[in-house]
Amino acid sequence: MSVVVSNLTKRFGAHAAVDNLSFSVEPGTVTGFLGPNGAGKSTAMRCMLDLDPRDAGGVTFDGARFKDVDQPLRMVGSLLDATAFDPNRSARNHLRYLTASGGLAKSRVDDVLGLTGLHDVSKRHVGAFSLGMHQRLGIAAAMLGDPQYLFLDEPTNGLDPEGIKWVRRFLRELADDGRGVLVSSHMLSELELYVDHLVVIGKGQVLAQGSVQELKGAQQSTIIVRSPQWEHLGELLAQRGASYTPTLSNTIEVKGVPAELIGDLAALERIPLHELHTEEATLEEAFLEITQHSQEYTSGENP
Amino acid sequence: MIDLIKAEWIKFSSLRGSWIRLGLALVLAMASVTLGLIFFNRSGGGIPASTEIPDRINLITSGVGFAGLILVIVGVLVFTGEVKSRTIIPTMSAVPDRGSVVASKVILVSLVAAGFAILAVGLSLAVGLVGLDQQGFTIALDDADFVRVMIGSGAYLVIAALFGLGLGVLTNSTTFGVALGLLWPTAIEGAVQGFAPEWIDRFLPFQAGAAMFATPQRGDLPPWEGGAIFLFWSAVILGVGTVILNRRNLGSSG
Repeated sequence: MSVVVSNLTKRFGAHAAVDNLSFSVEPGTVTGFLGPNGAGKSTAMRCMLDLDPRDAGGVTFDGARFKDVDQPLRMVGSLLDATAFDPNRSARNHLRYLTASGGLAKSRVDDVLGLTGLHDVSKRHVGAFSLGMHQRLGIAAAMLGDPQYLFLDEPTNGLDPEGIKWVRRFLRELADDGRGVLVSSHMLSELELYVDHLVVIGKGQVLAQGSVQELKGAQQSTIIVRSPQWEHLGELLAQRGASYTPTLSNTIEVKGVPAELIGDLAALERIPLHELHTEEATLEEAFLEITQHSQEYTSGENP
Repeated sequence: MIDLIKAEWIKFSSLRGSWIRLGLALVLAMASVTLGLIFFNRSGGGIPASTEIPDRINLITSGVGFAGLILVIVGVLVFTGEVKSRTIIPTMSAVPDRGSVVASKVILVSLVAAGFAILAVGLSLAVGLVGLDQQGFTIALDDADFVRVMIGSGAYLVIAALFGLGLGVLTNSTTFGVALGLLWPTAIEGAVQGFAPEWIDRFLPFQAGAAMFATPQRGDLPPWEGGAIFLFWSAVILGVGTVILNRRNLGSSG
């Protein structure tokens, strides 16, 4: 029981917007879909719901293809385009039509209006709504079918801090309730507070995936070493499999060996150390490092 | 399918623009009948006015062509309105089978156009018959031609709206769909009639469709044959449009 994306590929002309993408969305978890703008997140989510035809690969919902799912809105609710409302239609009528489309009980309209706090404005035309209210209405629409899975593309765009908090808590609760939530963002800080699992993509490919802890752990710590004989020390460390980069005067950043080894080695070789400390990697750095090489326009330097 | 038709009805009826367009079509039809009544039996430029039975029937249906033009646009917008507002994204997320969505729109448009046709033809009849009666002219209500023309007018309006829906699905654009819908019956068919050999005329959709309410009956094109040609065109455009729709990326904004 999960949403399984396997080898999903989508091309626009010769350009692969989504390239052999595989991951899954598990019930009871929030999966963060993270990547810089233009990485292919939105395209991938549209392909998952058959809105953009795929060039290769497949997606299954609890084992079934989307087009074979009996009641799509009960399987997956989605908010893929926060502007997808007719400005001249009331919020209530937007929800009413989707309720009919999905063959759902009429009472669901009031249920989701209550859930998202839109009851008082439900008869107003959507054209008069703020972007934040659009997002709420989009989430209301996604919740109509009381779905097993939720796909939300940048749901906090345009929300005030209060609204952002609300979305986080809301999605967290849905997952704790046993639903599978897939939420995209280009900002890690937005996701790391409440997601269980991260799928990091760049140029349409999965760059890394795992739990937030795993991704942090996979990132090597950096050790800052200051010594007047840094060149000699650097060479010795390199012989032991470490890598180093000179930064400030007499200072190198070392990766691949623990701080203890550096201190012991320096003592043994009688190299004076003026500074030795470890910088823990933040997830933000991990993300930047992971996506750096997938940015379309970054230049040069190989790792 | 009932649910999908209900959804289409909610979409259609919840937009004021839908009613404004239908109202406009009705006003145009009635204005045409009213003007016809004012000028009926009035000779101009030395030509005596003809008041034969076919002229009386033609007076009553004189607004059908105008109303049909507006119904084409109504049909176009039933599809392209969703493209423009992007509601096509939630719509197709709820119903992944795009053909079902088009099919429910076909039924909705047919029902709306049929309802409109009953109202518009009925009102034209009432106003036309009363107005003619005041001038001392009558039409036998069991006249075979008369009954055919009334039913044919209604059918024409329904098929015109379906033709418009087809243009909407095919063009995927309000601008192109409406422009094509307005130009096809007028400029495009007019140009073809002007420059192409005459035998082609009968195969033009709106020319053929007009045979359904032509009096006297067009000898070269029986009314139901004309209707069938018009319906065939609409079905082909809808069919080709749906095939293309099935392969379309809905994500790229249209």
